[in-house]
Amino acid sequence: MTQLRTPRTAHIVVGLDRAGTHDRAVLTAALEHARHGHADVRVVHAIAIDAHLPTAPLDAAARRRQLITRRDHLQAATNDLRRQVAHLGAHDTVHYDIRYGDPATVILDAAQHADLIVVGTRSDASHGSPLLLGIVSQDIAVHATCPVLLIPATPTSSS
Amino acid sequence: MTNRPIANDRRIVVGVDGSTGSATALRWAIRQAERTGATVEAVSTWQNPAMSGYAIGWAPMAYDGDSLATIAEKTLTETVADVTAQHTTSVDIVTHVVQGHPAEILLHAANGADLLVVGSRGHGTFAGILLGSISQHCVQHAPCPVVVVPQDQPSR
Repeated sequence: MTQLRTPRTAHIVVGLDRAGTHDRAVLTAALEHARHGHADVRVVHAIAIDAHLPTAPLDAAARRRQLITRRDHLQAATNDLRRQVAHLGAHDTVHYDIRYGDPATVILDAAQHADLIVVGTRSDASHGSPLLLGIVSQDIAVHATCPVLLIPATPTSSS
Repeated sequence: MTNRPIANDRRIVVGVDGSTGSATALRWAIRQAERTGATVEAVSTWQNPAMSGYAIGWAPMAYDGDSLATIAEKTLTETVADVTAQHTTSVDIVTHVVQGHPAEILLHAANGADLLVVGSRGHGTFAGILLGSISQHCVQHAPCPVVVVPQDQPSR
């Protein structure tokens, strides 16, 4: 006998595009939704390709330094994520995925079969462009095939 | 300390404009409320076009505020009835019809709510909150998390 609809675990993709204090609020919201919906959580940390590497041609030594910097950033981002998720007491149910690329594209790609995408929005000008995260989250909201949960930055969420 | 009933504290606000997208958003909101024990507040808005009509020399004869409110109310009631007919639920659903700008009304209603739920494509009303030029302002000023539900959401 063929079952037309097999029960499946729901998937939640958390999109982070920058290490920041607001990530904790986004992770907290995602884990809360995962708890209510018995879903697993995949944290996708997207790092823009040009974030740590200049586009101008470099000599070999400079290039090597840049790659080391990039690797260090990656390592720091991973450790930061693990620390935050462990702090929230849910390390067993969370998968990590850190990727370089356009944040919206990377997150949408990872969420092709997701039931929910969770991303943060903020207008914090101290993190660079005040519109960047808004554009990333809006891109995701417009193009996603599943619901997108947008977590606003609030003064209390950055504590 | 007071013992306040938890059900009254947890609210999921959803914008309903009669579009398929807003029905999908309502469906998602109800399912989410079932998981969290929240109450669903379905909000429909209407604006009097006569107000802008005067500015361009229109006579507001074709429009009557009361009838627009009635249409909004009817649309809201029908959407809730359609969605709950397909999916029986024990969730409390409260409906509100409010006159004013959709973004402002929804943001106001979402104050203190768990979630604000909108469809990604509506009749150009709620959709504009996230996809149009007002979107940045609204998302950044939302008093609670916002969920954007795509129209072609497969039932899961």
